[in-house]
Amino acid sequence: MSRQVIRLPAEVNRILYVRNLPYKITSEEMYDIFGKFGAIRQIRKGTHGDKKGTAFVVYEDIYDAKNAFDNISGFNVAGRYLIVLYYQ
Amino acid sequence: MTPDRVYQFRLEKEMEERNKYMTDEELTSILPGPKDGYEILKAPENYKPL
Repeated sequence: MSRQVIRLPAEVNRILYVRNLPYKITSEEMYDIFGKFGAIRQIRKGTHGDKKGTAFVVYEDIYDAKNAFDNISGFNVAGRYLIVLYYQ
Repeated sequence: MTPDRVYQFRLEKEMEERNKYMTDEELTSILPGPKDGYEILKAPENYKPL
């Protein structure tokens, strides 16, 4: 049976935009939380002003990003519920 | 090629395109960087991608 290609909706992409993160969350914690869903290509964390508590998590594989998106919304980190969106 | 095969082929092409490797430069061109208030985190030493 040839591998069935699953088409993902247009808005799905490999970069997740995360909000409501604890300000002092470490790289280890970020890689631990998001690394469970697949290989991480890169993470960019907000450092100033209204950027604090937000991050861009880039997965190597778009299907891993979707898996993370489906499983991580509402994930509780240090009493804060994560808000996850696809980067547009 | 049956219509279904044609559809599958086009799908594969589209997903391959959407999933192709992005270089650091490409990422930097589309994502905010240090001057926009975002730092690139260093992966922990013991980080082993799944």
